[in-house]
Amino acid sequence: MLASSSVLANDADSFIWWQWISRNSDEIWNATVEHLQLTLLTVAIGVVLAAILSAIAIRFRFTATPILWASGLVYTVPSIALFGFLVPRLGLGYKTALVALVGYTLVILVRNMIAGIDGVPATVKEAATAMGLTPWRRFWSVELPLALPTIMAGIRIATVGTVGLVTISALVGEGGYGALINNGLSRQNFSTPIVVGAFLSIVMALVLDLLLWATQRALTPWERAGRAGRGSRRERAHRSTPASAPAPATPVGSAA
Amino acid sequence: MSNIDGTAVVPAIRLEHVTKSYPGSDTPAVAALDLDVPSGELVALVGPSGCGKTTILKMVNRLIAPSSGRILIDGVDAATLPEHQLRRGIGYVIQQVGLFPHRSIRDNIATVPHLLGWDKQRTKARVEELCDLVGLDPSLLRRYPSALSGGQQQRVGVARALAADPPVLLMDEPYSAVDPIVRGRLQDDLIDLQHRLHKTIVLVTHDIDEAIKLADRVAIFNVGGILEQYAPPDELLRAPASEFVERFLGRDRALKRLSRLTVADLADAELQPASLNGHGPSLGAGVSLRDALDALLGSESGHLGVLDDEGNVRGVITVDVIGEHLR
Repeated sequence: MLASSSVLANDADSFIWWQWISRNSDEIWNATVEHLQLTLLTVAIGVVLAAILSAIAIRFRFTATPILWASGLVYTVPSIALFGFLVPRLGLGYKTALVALVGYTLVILVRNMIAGIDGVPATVKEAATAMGLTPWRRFWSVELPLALPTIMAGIRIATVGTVGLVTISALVGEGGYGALINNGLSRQNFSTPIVVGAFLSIVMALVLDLLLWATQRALTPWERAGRAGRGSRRERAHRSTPASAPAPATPVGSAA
Repeated sequence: MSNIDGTAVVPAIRLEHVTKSYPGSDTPAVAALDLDVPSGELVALVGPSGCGKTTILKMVNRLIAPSSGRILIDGVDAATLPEHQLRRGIGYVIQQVGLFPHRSIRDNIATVPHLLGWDKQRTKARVEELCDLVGLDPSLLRRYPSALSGGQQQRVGVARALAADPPVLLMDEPYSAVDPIVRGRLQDDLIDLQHRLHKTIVLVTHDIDEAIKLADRVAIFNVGGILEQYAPPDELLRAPASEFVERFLGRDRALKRLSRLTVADLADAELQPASLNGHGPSLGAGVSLRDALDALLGSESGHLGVLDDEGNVRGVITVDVIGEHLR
């Protein structure tokens, strides 16, 4: 019988034991669903919370710095330490994981929401006001759409980051791919579930990022418009030439 | 906003003792200004930086609130209307245009009609009418602002301002950011537009030549919002009210007067007999006197024929003819 470390044999000692995958497909599927649910819920809550915080920070500018500082502080705390802090208070399980995960999304979401709104050109805002848009209308139909690319970028980063962090939440008893990885780690050198868990979380991160990117593209058609053919000659074709007759040669190349 | 109701005496815009001061500054930006803008005229506000001309403009549509004084538009105190309603009746064009990057050109132009609740048919027809009016290629309507050149964007800006047919149009250095050739064309187009529409236009510019070219009346301001002189360009050039105005107008005042006149403004009696010309070169009816002078100075004989609208020779022009006309 061949030694189990031979390249041809595929068993528990191999890098990926395919049979284990097919035997435990249910467990893998459940882990996927759990992981996805926790990720999406985290980002959803994070976006709502960040929107509230950003609104406060924009409306009352003096709060912007403390808010950004506080959310940055949460981000700096290592996740294991944060879980360690929360578990005695909230217990093991979903609530703890959610609180920590949402906390981690805040700094990027708040920062990008504020940056997005601040990034709207002042001349566009002035024109909107001068046209007679009420401040409410100006926010919803001008500022928010123009801030969207920056905000979406923040959501994408937060989502991908959350996918990774959910794995760690296995430490507090939450499933997802983290459970698979834990599974392998706890059974010395059983690499298959670790590889599967890690690989699938990468795939999930990529898929979600791609979906969000596609959504962003769909919501911002103007970003794609280029400077193709301006046809400046045609624009004057149907206008009659003005009455003034041959003028002296306009200075060529004069400075603007 | 209603249009003027028939009494010719009511100015389109009246500024009554309008003052604007900012906290922390001793001198006001605008000091007790009284100014009337007659209906259907283009009034230019000119002056050096810090003279308050843009502040004055922005007080008309209340982007800046006056510290004291009243602004009446068609006899109605602007302060009595909700701001957004006031602004929907006033067109506004700025130097950087400020088109909405996330909306198509069509939607940009239709902004105010949309706010006023016009139906789709009416809006569509109006947008197309405006394209014709401002000289915009209709194929650009479905594009986004980033696809257009600076000159095209500025045309869209004017179309957008005129969309709901407001009686008043405010323009803040609209042509400063485009190159001189495009600027000249846009200015000519504005003159055409004004002949067709007779809007009341207030235009802020730092360029005295632009003011003289475009305006029916020019208001020259000094630093601190002091009105130095308010008169039609020709009067300004003939009789500057102060040294400041003289300096601001520049040294070639008489030549500037010539730019505003064409050979068509010369009466037949002022011209020399046509026989002197024989079959020499001639100037068309639309040529400005300034260009005519330039042509005469460069000509061999010092005589040039003058044509009427049909192309027949009316008479002959010389440098003396021009000089006599100015006197």
